[in-house]
Amino acid sequence: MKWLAEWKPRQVNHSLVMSEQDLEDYPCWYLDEAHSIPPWTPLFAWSWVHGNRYGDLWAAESIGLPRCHGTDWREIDGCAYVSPALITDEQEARQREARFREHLQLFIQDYDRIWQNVVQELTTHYNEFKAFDVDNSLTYKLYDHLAQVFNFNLRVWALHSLMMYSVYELYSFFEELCREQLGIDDTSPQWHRLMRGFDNKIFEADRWLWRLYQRAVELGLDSVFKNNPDEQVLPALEETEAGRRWHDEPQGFREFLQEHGWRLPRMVEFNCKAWIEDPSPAISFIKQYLAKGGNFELDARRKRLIKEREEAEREVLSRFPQSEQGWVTMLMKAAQRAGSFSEEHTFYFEQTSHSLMRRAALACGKRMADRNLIEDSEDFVYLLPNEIKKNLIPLRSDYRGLVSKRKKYYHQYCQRLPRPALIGKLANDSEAAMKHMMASGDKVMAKITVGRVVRARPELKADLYGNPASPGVATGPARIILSETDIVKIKPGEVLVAITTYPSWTPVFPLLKGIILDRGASLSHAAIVGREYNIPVVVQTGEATGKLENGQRIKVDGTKGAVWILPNG
Amino acid sequence: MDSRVIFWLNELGREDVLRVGQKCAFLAEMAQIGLPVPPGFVLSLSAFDSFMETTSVREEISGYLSKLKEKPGDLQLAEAASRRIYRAIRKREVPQEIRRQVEASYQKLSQQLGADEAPVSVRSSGRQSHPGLFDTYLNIKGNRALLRSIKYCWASMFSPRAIATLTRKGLAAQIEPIAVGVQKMIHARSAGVLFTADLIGNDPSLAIIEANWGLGEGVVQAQVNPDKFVVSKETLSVKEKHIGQKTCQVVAIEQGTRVEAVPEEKQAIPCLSDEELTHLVKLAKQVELHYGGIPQDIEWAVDAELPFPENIFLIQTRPVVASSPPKRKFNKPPDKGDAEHIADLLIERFYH
Repeated sequence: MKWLAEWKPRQVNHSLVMSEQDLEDYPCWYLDEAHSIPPWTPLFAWSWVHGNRYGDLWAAESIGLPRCHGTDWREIDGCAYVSPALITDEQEARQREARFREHLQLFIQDYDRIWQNVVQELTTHYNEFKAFDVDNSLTYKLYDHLAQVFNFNLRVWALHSLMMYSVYELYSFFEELCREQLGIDDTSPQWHRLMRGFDNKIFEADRWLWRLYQRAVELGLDSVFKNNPDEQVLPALEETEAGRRWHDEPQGFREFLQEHGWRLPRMVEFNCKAWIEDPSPAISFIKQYLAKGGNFELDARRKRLIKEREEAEREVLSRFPQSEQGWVTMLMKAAQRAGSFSEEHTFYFEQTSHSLMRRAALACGKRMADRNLIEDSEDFVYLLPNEIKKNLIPLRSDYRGLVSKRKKYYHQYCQRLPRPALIGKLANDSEAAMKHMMASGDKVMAKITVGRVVRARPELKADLYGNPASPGVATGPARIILSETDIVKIKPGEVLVAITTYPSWTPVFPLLKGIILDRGASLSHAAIVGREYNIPVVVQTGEATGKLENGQRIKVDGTKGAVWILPNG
Repeated sequence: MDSRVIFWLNELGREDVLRVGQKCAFLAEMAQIGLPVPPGFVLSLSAFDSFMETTSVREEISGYLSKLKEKPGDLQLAEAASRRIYRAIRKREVPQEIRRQVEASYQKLSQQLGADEAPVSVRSSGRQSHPGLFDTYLNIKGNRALLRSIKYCWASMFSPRAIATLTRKGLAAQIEPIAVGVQKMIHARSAGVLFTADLIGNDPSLAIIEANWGLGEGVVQAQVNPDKFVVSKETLSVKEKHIGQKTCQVVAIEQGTRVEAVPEEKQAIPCLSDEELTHLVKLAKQVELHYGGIPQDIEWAVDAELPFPENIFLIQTRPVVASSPPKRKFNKPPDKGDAEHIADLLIERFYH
């Protein structure tokens, strides 16, 4: 309460800004730590809380989640807070349960068809949006396009939540069964073996980038990559026959960008260019591969991981009675999908949708900037959709003052860290707060917002303790990455240390020896990808980015969940 | 499956249950995380299968077992069948190839331990842990005795109690293979068991230790009135000490073991020092933590000659299942579909 009174978020007002009333209505609000640190720009924050709120509530209602109406979302100064809308009436819960049971059955049996339909619906709309010429269309058509893209984003979140709720529910249930019957859970190496050896859409991009690097070598273009800064590589390639071929041939760089360039490097924030606009991150990855050399190891490694996984599957199944192995296998397969789904869903949902939203809003920004209504076309991120629309037709309000005030405010709130993890009536009683959250039965929130509590184990004499997320041990120099712009600094053989990682960082994984995160759990991006690359990952260390230093030699143990700082040299 | 006959403990881990059984796989994993485990090697499940095949003893055993199907759990019938099966196994020679590899491995282990014929312990290790069901042979020396003990371990799969249990569980149709662990024999001054939780008082912050003079068999088989200690896992302080009247102990003799009287002056004094006790609990905590906090039932021994703390060894660990809260039922009724059962069970576990 006191916290809210101290910094009233009055600069940007919309219906989902946290209010005094919200603190009365819900006993506790939980910071969406996995996504909203660092804090977001006003437009992105608006879009994230509106989209997620709509999606969660829609999905929870449509599948009949028994104990909650989904998650409610609010914004405080660029950060999202969530709280479950609990169902306490027993009769209501029972009624929903029947619907939920039916949905789960259908989801287990018909997963492939359901997912295919979702992908098709998304792709059809995306293709339509991509075909729209944002720069040369009439303004009223751009207005319409903006409205459509932002509106479709609600549908994107609805399908997203439906899939997430269902997939996570089955993943968590299989974990529960294994914990109950076999004593293993999602921090056990055996669990990690069970959950890896799967391909997904994101790896397709990594593999393609690797092929592009090899192709560059074949065409004798290494020196063009090596001798030019990232942003000048493409113009330099344009000047040679071989370079143009590399870019334009089938499966070349142009096609790569069309398929995989719809990704935003800073989570999915609007204030950073998508690869399709500025491909230099992709170029930089290719340069890093050139420096490392060798083959794309993922496919070779995967063969072994698949073998290991099949062995783990047999071992785990053998510990269940023969009579139960049929349905346990079915459940296991459903749980195993969670990893690849968690990973590739961002491609289909967040990445593409937000790239398209940025593209539409940026085009509006350009038109406003042309009329001097804002200074820079990129300033659109400080405006809310209605403000953009209002100023598109007729173009008349000078927003420069408003934008400059908001920009200043944005930079101020970005510095206000850390944000409280809990606010509301239960904020000072974390145990009661966790109980409140767990009562919702919302696995997405439990797996993403909180993670598992880490226990220090003094007998290991480690410098950091976390949860094991991908087994193995590695040593190497630490490389702390706090923002996507630093990724280019990674050198082969380093151990990545970050608060969290995002899917657009995956191309760097083949260079890494290990990963340490401040946050995260077994379905975090780094955990899933780390397992596939067979490198150790430790999550939820809390303070790795604060405690470790660049270049420090460290040992990371993803089996035990511990990190040691080694003497240098 | 892998057809390798011998694995060294230090090349195995928990994931190798299907190769070397639960006991050895868990033991190997303890060694891997740096816990003191006596060195040794394992005859894999494949070795058992290969013995059963090449000597065609399998058909003979199946014949004896099939007669039990009518009266599963009948102990008298099981006893008769067991006697016949034991004889059948003892009669067979260990196949040449397995024998050659066992002898070579034993020689290598003996060399490592600086002996001509190092004394070893021989223990069976099934795919699943069946506490107390299978046999252990201690202080075995020389190729002949070793091979004999290995055969006994294989045969222990068919002790009357094991047969009765297996037929009751309906496993008689398929003979489960069993692995055999061969490890350096610890000449124990004291030995016993440790539970990493007080399961009766339902207090996971306490470790319970039962100890006797001599080899661990005395405590495991509950023949004596052991010392009992309660230690706080957090502070490592000894909370309770009950010194038992330890009248007899199991000791190693020239070949094998025997039960002996404990000298009178040692009967009523603790067989573990506080220092040893706390070190033991420290090790046990590591084991429990490594297995995800699941309470463990650990067998340990204190060597009579080595200095502290190198004298403390862990002999075996297994998750405590028998006395932990009963596992929840999850069996699917025959008339229910797979997906339907998953949905029902999920709702019961998460929402009721």
